[in-house]
Order: sequence, then structure tokens, then C-alpha cells
Amino acid sequence: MNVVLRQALIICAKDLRMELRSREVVLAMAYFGILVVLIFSFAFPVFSGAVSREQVVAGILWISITFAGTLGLQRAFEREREGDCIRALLLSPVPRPSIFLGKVFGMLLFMGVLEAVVLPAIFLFFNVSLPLDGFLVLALTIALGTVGYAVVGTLFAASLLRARSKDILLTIMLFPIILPVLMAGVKATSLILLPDGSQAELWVWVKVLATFDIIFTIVSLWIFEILVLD
Amino acid sequence: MASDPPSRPPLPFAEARGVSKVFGRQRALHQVDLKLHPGRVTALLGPNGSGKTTLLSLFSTLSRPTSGTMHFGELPPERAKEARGAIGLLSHHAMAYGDLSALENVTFYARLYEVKEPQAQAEALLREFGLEDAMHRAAGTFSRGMLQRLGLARALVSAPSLVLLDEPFTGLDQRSCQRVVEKVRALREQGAMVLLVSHDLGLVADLADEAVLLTRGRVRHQLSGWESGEALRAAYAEHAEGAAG
Repeated sequence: MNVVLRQALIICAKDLRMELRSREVVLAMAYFGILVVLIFSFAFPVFSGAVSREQVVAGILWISITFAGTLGLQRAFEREREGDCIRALLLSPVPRPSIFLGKVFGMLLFMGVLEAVVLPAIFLFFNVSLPLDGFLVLALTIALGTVGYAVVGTLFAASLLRARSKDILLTIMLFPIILPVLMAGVKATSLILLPDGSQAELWVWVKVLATFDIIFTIVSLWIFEILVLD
Repeated sequence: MASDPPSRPPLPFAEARGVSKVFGRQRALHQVDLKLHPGRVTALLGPNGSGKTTLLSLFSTLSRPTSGTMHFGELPPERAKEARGAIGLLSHHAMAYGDLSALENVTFYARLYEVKEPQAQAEALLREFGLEDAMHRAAGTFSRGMLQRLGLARALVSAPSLVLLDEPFTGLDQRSCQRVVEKVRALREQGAMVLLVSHDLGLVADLADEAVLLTRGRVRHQLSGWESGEALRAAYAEHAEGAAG
């Protein structure tokens, strides 16, 4: 196996082992994600006028994922800050892309669990149904959006490890950058959920998500060490 | 001791050449020269805030000098980070994950350094530092002294040729201190370069081959050949007070 990938998997396995023992990241994320969905289900009991149920549901889904994801990012990196573990990680001869990818893989797993909880809740509380092929496209959309979010989120959370107001700064810095992910995710999701949503437009937004993932993964791998050193 | 170190060539020397380090408007180090040699223990002495930890951080490659250069063997300064696999660092923190057991912590780092039989090596080191009964306990439940010993096991699991120890005796009882002293002696015997920061002049006098006195970011004096702890203490007092005055 490629050394970068092998070392990334060692770091990811460590994060997974810690999470299986404490369950604090996933539980906090899932709890917060469900809470967001529940609050919105009370805020929008009736859908009428220019905004359809599908458009609102798409927005709620992505707000729930990104807000709960921020909670997970903060906690996942707090573990590296506690006891200054990040220094030991950076001092090791592990290729820097391995550290970055290891943390991204961990976040993807945590967010996957979050989405597995939030998605059924959305379908339940908002009475949304979807055929199997639509569900597969929705899963692809969420997966692409999650990759973009985890990549950029990991980069910023790592670079802010030693900052004083890191929790506030993370939110302030992260959300403007992931705005394209949010916009494309919401647009694509609403088109999937709408019975007469344009397929051509849907795939444009899916391509936007994929492009974002490729560009930001390459950039993040390149600048990760510069941002976390010194 | 980890008897089967990874196949990584030892560093022939490590050297700071005219290094300065500035944090904002604060000058932490000024034109410091220091060369470390294999099989020698060098102590860094000085009052709080004199730049000892900053210099240690430069030798760890985790920080870069504002000016001057760090040399690790024949590696050009711009490729200093390639020496990381040969460096073991004990800092003020144990650098251990609280949710993982002591054994899981050290094994994790052993895997990152590609140590052969990582778990066996980790177990051997934890035993050496007297943590055999606690190796399956979460590091988060450890006392200060136990964490310090865990940090030492982590720092040494890759059998580094440059060992950086920042106040390794903090929080240790007498028996644990003795274990660390024996370990440092063993490292010297094996040809490692040891850079030791400590305020315990008695232990420094016992362990170190030379001592460098830093005050206000500058090397004030280099001491060697002392006859006793008292002699080192007197020399330290003379030069540290002289610099302060």
C-alpha cells in the first residue's frame, strides 16, 4: 500500500478507536443535527407560497450537516491540542499529506454517521419520499458535499489549533469558503427532491461540488504543512 | 530499551549556527551557536524565559529560526525536516491521547515511525519506565509523573539519535528520576546526542558532559569539566547572576 495512504489510515484508525471509546464527537454531532431538524420542523409546519417543501428541506438538511459538522471539527481537533499531541504528530517522519488525509478520513466517517441519522429524521419530520434512483443521486450529492466540507474544515481547524479564539475563528473563516458547497448542495438536493426538478441543472450542481472537492483537496494537501508549522 | 530500532541512519551531529528567533517584538534567541555531538549529553541551563525551550524547538525542526541556520548532519538547512525521524522530543506536555491507553499511545507513534514490531517495542519501553501495571489504562487517568514517563517512552520509541528532553525530571519521584538518569546514560552509551533542559543542577552535574548557560536569549557561558554539583552550582550562580546584574 502507498506509504501516504498507509500512514493516513493509521491516523484515521487512531481517531476511530478514540471515538469508539468516548463517542463524544459523533453523539454531539448527531444530537445537534437532529435538534436543528426538529426546530425547523416546528418553524415550518405549513408550506405555501413561492418556496416549496423540497427547497426548504434541502436547506435544512445542509444547515444541519454543516453546523453539526463544525461541532465535530472543533472536538476532533481539540483532541490533538490536548497534551500537545499535534506536535508529536508533526515531529514524526510521516508525510504531511498523511496527517491531513488521516484527519479528513476520520471526519468523513464521523459525518457519515451524522448523515445516516439526520437524513431519516428529515424524511420523517417533513414527510418527504424519494425513489431509489433519486436516493442514490442524493447520497452522491451529500457525499461530494461532505468531502468538500471535511477537506476545508480540516485545513482550517488544523491551522487554528494554536489560535486563542479558535472556535469563533473557525466558524468565521470556514463558512465563507464552503459557501459554494452549501449553495451547490442545497440546489442539487432541492432538484433531486422536486418531482419535476431539471436533471440537466442537477448535474451542473453535482459537477460544481466535484470540482470544489478536487481543487480544495489539491490546495489543502499543498498548504497544510505551511499552515500548521510554527 | 527498544532493541530493534527502525533502519534510519543516525545523525552525525546537530548544530545551531547563529540562530535568532523573534516572536512579534520579542526576541527569544539572539545569535546562538551550539553544536551537539554523538555520545554526549549537553545541558541547557538558564532562568525562566531565557530561550531554552525555544532553542529546543529549533532543534526539533518544529520551529524555524528567524535568522541563522539549523544543521542536521550533512542535510542542507532547507531540508532539515528530513531529520525528523531521528529526533525524539519530550516537551512540557506528554503528547499522549487521554482516551487511549499508554500502550496504544506508544504503539501508535511506533507505527508512525515504522518501528518493527511496534507493540512489542512499546511494551518494552513502558516496562523500562515502570509503567507495566498501567500500560492498559487510559492515559487520561495518569498522574503527572506517570504522564512524564509515558512521554519519555513515546519520545524514545523510535530509538532517536537526537534526544531533546525539556525538564524530564518534573513530577517524578526519586525512583523514576533514577530510571530517567539511567536511560539518559544508556542513550549516551549508544551514541545518541542528548540535549537536556533542567533546573536540577545536581542531576545535570551528574549526567551532562557540558552545559550551556542561556540568559535573555544569548549564550552567556559554556561550562564543562566541573568536579561536583556544588562546583557547577557555583559556576552557574556566578554567570547567571553576572548576566542578570
